Amino acid sequence: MFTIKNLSMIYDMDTDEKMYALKGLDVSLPDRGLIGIIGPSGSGKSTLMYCLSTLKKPTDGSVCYNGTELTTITDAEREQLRRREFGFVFQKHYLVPYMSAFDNVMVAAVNNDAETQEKAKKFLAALGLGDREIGKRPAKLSGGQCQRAAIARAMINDPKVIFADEPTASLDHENAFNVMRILKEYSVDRLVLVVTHDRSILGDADRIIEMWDGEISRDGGTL
Amino acid sequence: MKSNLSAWNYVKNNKRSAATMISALALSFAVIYIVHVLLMTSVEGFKPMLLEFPKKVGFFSISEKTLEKSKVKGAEDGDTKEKMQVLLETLRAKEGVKDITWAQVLQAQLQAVIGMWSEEFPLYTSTEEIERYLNHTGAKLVKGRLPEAPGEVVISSMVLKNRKMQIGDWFRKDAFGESFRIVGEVESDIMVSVGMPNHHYNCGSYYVILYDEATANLTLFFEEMGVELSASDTVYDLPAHREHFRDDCDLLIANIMNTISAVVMFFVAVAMLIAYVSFLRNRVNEYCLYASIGYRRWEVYGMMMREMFILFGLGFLIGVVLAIPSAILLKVAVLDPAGIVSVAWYPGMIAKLGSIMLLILGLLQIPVLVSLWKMKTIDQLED
Repeated sequence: MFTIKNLSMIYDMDTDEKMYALKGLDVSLPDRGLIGIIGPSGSGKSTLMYCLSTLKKPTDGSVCYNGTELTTITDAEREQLRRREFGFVFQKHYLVPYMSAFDNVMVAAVNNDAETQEKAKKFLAALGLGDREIGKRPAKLSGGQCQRAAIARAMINDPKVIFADEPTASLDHENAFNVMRILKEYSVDRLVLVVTHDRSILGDADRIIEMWDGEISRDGGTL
Repeated sequence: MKSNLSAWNYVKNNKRSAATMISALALSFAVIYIVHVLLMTSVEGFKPMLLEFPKKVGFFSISEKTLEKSKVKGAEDGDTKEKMQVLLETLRAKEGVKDITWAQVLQAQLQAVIGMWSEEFPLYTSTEEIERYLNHTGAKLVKGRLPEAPGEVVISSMVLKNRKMQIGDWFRKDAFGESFRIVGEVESDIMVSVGMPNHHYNCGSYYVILYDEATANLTLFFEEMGVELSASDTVYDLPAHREHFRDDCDLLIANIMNTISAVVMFFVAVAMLIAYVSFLRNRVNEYCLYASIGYRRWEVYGMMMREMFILFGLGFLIGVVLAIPSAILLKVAVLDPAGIVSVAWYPGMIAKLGSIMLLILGLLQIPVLVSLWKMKTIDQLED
């Protein structure tokens, strides 16, 4: 699905001391499966994920997604991809505070028909948010419930790829494993990329890419 | 691809802050409208006296000095008496002129919320002249009787109400003492009063001319007759009254109103700007989320604009709903009983306030566009 060649990302391009977030990465990612990208803070794992998801534009190199070169497409095409084919789970849930859990899911949907609304309710129910919870605002939900609503938001358009950046960072152990279980289920026929520095949550990963100082230090295998 | 960014979502889920903005706009609207209604009493109240009454009655006096130097047509070489005689004869012969009588005058006063207007009315020496005057002006005696003795006057209902006088009272006792007794009340759209002279007090003497609107330009008549009018002459005709109305009522009130509207709306605009900037700041994460999950800037802008239109639209509608009944209530409960002429319905003012609100909406585009321009994606927010 993704073919990445010689991917580099440099911060502070204009200064003498250039800071490499990514240094000439080469990697290919399949159409499905749960792939974990792990590494310490500053290793470039989040930058890699954001370059793949078109949120960041790399300084150099190529990111090919299903035959489309993502580094050269227009802003509109990038937005279209993010809207239709990619789903996002961020470190913080980023739910809109004044909307209910249900509305927070629907805000990302490309349709607003009855079928999509039913789907949103089904997703939320499957993620453990019942009829009572889906009408509540984020402030009335627990951290785990918010993150699960954020996962439902990411899945509402049936994206081909879900990008999850530290999705369990603000959760307790039990909730963290629940979230990972949901992502694992989704990865049966889709690609789920999980960026984390917590190895323990990647027990079910199909593949683990380890990063260190902007480079891939180990690719392949599971824990 | 349908945008699910609904403007109602914010309004219905943030009732308190939306209500604050809507009520600020609605109250500002209502307050300015009510102030407008109050100030306009100085225009509406004086309209009958200044624009309608002079279509039927005029006053003039030409000084000896003016007559001496003027070459009056038909009496170029005559003395001042002959010249005046020719002027009066020519005037009397004009179509539409019913009567010209030399008479003393009094002044009836009408108080508005701001300002007061004094208008002359004649003091005739005979009942026949008084009846002719009332017939000509369309005034009807509704209470009491017509003046029969020196010092008796009949006063327009509106003036009586406005100045809190009634039949049997002394007319303007503060100015004339116990000289003019009110013996009747006349109903008249143009605020007609009339009386009989008292030998001691009056507000001067003039030729009182009863005419119709077509003949109501005395200034033009005197100019055509060769009279060189100067400051020592008095001509209270329709153009003179219209000029007074334009300068002393219409323009003056319009200027005061524009100033008040500008000052109030300036503060409303500044308050809205500050409120809106903080409102946008509180929603930075939300906008970042939309940008990250693939919404285009114009879609986010569209949502912001729809939200603003809802807030301003409701502010405007509630403002109208609040202002009009309040103005009607003010008119019925306060102004009418006080004899102050007022109008509660000013569609022009509503349109003007609506335009000012649109202008404020335009001003709010600045923070909206700045926040759109600065809108980041979540990865940038977390960097």
